[in-house]
This record gives sequence, structure tokens and C-alpha cells, in this order.
Amino acid sequence: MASETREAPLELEERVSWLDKSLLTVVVGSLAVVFVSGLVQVSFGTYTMSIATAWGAVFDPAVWTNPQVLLRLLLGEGFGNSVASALGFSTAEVDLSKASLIVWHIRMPRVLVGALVGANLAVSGAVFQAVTRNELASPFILGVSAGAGLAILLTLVVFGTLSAFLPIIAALGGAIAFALVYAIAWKGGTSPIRLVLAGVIVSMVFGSLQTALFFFADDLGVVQTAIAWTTGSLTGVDWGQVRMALPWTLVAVPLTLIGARQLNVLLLGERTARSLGMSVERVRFGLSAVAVLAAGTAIAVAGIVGFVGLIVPHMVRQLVGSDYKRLVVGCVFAGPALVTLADVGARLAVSPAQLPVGVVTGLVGGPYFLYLMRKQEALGEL
Amino acid sequence: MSLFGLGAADATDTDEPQQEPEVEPLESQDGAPPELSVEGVDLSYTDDGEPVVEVDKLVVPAGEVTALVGPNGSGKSTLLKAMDAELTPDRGTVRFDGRDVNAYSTSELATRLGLLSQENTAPSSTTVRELATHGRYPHRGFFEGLTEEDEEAVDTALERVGVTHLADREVGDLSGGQRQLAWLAMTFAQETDALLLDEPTTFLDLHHQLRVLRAARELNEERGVTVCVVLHDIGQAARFADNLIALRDGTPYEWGPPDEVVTPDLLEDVFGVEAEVGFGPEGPTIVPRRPVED
Repeated sequence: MASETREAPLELEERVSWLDKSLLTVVVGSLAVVFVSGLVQVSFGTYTMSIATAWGAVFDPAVWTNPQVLLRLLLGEGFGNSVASALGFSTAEVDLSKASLIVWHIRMPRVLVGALVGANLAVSGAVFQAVTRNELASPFILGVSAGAGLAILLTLVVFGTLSAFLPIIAALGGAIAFALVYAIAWKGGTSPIRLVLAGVIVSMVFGSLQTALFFFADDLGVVQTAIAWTTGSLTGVDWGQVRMALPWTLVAVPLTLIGARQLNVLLLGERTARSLGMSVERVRFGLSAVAVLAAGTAIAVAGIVGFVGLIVPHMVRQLVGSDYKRLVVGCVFAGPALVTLADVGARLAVSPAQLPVGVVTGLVGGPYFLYLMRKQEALGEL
Repeated sequence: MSLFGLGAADATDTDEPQQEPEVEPLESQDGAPPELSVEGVDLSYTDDGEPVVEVDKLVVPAGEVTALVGPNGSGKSTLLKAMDAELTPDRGTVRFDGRDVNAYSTSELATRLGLLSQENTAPSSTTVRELATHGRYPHRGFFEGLTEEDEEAVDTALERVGVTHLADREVGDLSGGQRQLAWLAMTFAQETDALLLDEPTTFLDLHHQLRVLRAARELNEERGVTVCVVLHDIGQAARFADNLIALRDGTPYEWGPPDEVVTPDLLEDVFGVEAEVGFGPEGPTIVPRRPVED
């Protein structure tokens, strides 16, 4: 009896042993950053309201006590209503104050989309870093972003009718670019340096194609949208983007978590992974596909927000170590923290004008990349 | 003692009863340890390239320790790659436990044949226990957690290699020798019937060289695991292994127990040194004197 009671908590402790103090710090810290950034973000906008009013709107009981309001926002008017009635909630209209309407309908989605973008980019970067065994890998460096961006521009400028499938199209473009990079870098195996160089080459070519597309745009509006895409911006996103990104995030993140053990074994090197019975190419391919999907999702709703996929996994790794179970969980929280924080910067830096968030992440990410380069003795090897 | 490739006579040596019975029966399919055999194999790295290794016949006897020796570039590691199905022969077959190694699926082979690579890198924050746990990879399903059996295998492996006290240390903080022992623990945790070690002692200090070899020897004696190890130092190989395979320019020069294989002629022809060979109770001793001029 005594031994049984002693064993139970011990087992529990072992089960969650990977959830240690450092990871908990990352998770809690990131949540705090997201929360604070969110509060700041919802306090500013074209409609002037006091900070107290804005925060009051965030915690408006009329929103939180009526599940149908949240469901309608999250799932869309029609679907939200049917889910609400299926769950036995009322579907009655709720009269919200003007402040609540603005905060919830216009300002909140920007925070949520920022969080989703951050999580996807961070997870994508983490996976690419393991798959290529290269600390410098990220969707941005490996040309995935450029490929996805080009696909999105093509859709917007040439095939306007396909806009509903943007995440898939973006992922497809990213996948093609990544395949190209891999093919260019392949020479009986790849090396970190060759992959980065190939990524630069493909990004450059795809970047030129993107610029070229501007000339075929019919009106200035499309060009402006296009520029917003290629720099990465959260300005003007609404619940539609949340609804677009959320399902794919819910696919990509769990898949990455499931693949954490595979990623850990991949980090031991191709030969060892193979001797342990892994079908290295298949696993690499599958996980790359997940990473491309995650990157594509982020790019489809916010455009190319650079450096997040590079910086976040690296910072989290410094804090929680290289075990991918911990690393991915850390990235899922730290990614949103970085993007929502950067977006606050994007909104407030040159207020009242707004910068695209990609400009801010680029301004932060460039120096960090430089710091990595100077600090690391062996550049790139994970 | 006979030259390789002249006949199958050598193979019959392996059928002789071994000196000592196994302590524990092996968990292989037919209960006996598996044999690795190489027949009529040409190996090359490019499609049209000259074969790097040509072997008529060669056997790594079941339940024994066999050392592959030879100078740099003699094809030792290449031959090992063929044994692990990393390299598909241009012609001929490598058989593991009677079956073509290339006919095994990667995951099936990994449960029966382990490999310690020559160069190993793991993220420096990996603990020794985590590294050893990776050895259970082939035994776990895609979604499965660690079973009690897995935990036991990891504990046993850490103990066998003698790194239990380092279990919670990060590999980045260990010395090269300790790190190699941690990697060895990973292959031990794999609990395979046969183990290939690719130059496991190169770059290690003497103390850790002996610890690696002793751990491999004990695994062989206790579980009857067939061990094939690439060694740089023929003196060490002669003391450590039951059989030597001496390679020269990609072909086996000689094969057999160290007492028969190690001769001044072999040292001159294969290694290019003039040496004296003495015969002690623990196998031949080699005293190299001078390099032979070409």
C-alpha cells in the first residue's frame, strides 16, 4: 500500500519531467508578454478611446458571459450560431457597447493573428533547423517565405478568384521554393553553408519575380496590398484571417509535437538516425511538409514576417535546451510573444503612421543574426 | 592460416564449437547469435567508379568479436557500411543471419543490428540518459511512450558501459572519452543481436579506449552479441578480438584468430612496417621497428 502511494506521484513526476522550470518560465513569460502586448494593442486605433475604456471592453462581461458572441467571432456568423445552438447556448443578438464592438471586432483579431503567425513561424523554423541540422535554417533563410510570397502575389494579381485557398497556395509556393533550395544545395548531401547560400539564391530570384509582378498589377491598390504582403503586416487583419489560420495551426502544431521524437533522433545525424531504424528521407520529407504548411499559413495571413522563424527557436533553445519536445512547446508560446510585441512596436514607433510588423522583426532580427554569426565558432552546425 | 579468397576453408573454422557457452541465450529468432557473411561483393561509391572494396568471401562469426584492421583507405569503413546496408553492393550479397541485409527493412534491421558511427554529434544539452534512450527508437511505436522494458534496457545499458553516474550530465560537458561511452550506451540500449563499431577508439585517451573495448567484450560475453569492430591499432585488435580481418587495398589479405593472422609478413605487406611479433599467453604482441620503404 505504502509503496503504491509513493509510486503514483513519482510516475506523474516522470511523465511531466520534460515540463521543467525553464520551460515553465518561457511559457508563463511569453503569455505575460502576449497579454500585455494585447492590452496595449487594443488601446490604440483610429477611434479614440481611453485606455481604461479599451481594457474595460476587453473584459466586457457582455462578451464573456455570452458564448455565442465569441463563437460567432471565432467561427463566423452562420457556423458560430449553429455551433452555439448545438452546444445549447442562446443565439440571441447581444447589444455591445461601441467600445466593445471596436475592440472585439476590429482590434482583437490583430492580436490573435499576430499570435498565430508567431506560433507558426517559430514552429516552422524549429523544424527546419532540425531537418537541415542547421541553426541558421528558417523559412525565411531557406527561401520558403520567398516562394510562398510569390505564390500569394501571383494569386492576388493574376488569379484573384483563388483567394480563399491562400494558405494552401502559399504552402505550395513555399514547398516548391524549398525543394529548389534543397536541389541546388544537394551534392551527395547538404551542408549548412550550402543550404543558406542556396536559400539566398532562390530568395533573390523569387524576390525579383515578385517585384516584376508589380508591373502587371492593374491598379495601385493591388500594388499596395502586394507590398504589405512582401514585408509582412498585421494592419487591417480581421476575424476572417483568424478563421483562416487557426485550423491549419491546429494541424501543424500538434503534428510537430508528435514528431518531436523524430526530430530529436534526426539531430543525431543521418547515419545514426538510420542505424536506429528511421527512414530518414521519409521522415525529413514529412516534417518539412509540416514546416512548409506552418510557414505557408503564417504567410497567407500576414505576408512575409522575417526572422521570427530564426530567432525564436534559437532563443528558446538557449533557455530550455535542444530537446524538441520542450523546444516546440516553448516556440508555440515564445513565437506569439515576439510577434505581438513587435506589432506593438510597429503600431507605436512612428505613431500615428503604422509600420508593417515585418519591418520591426527585420530590424530586430538582423542584428540578432549578426550576433549569432559573431558568437558562434562553428557557424550553423546544430 | 590461409589466404582469403582461395576457398571456403576459412568459413569452416567458424563452425567449430566455441570455447565457452553463452551465459544468457540470445533473443534472436532461432535463439542463436547471427552471423554476418560477405560473398562475392564489390563496393563502390559512384555508379561507374572502380570498386573500392572487392571481397570474395568473408565471415564475421556468430557470437564472437571480430576486428577489421588495415591501413587508412584500405576499405574497412566501406565494408562496414555494406554490412549495415548503407551501401548496396554492385554485385554479390551481404547476409545477416542468413538473409540479404538489403532485404531487411530499415526498422527491422535496427532491432537486430546496431551501429556506432565514427563521428557522432548530439546537441550539447542532451543528457546521457536521453541519448541512451534514443537507442530504444526502433523498439517504440510512433505514438508509444517509454515502457518499463525500455527503461530497463536503458538502465542496463548505462550500467554495462559504466556511465550510470553520468546519466544526468549533459553530453556537452563531458570529455571525449565519456561522450563516446554515452554513445556506446545508446547502441547497447538498442539491444541488438549484433553490433558494428566504426573506429570506436580513435581519438580517445588510453583509459577510455580500454573502457570502450571492455564494455563491448562484456556485452559479447554476457549476451553473446556478435561484434564487428573497425580498429586502427593492430596491437590492440590482436589483444581484444577473437578474429582479425586484415584488409589491404579493399581486399581481405588474411582472416582468422590473431595468433594465426599476426605475422611479420602481414605487418610488412599490409601495414608497411617491419615489426617483431612475440607470442604471449594473451595473444601476439607487436613491436613495430621501422617503416618499410616502397
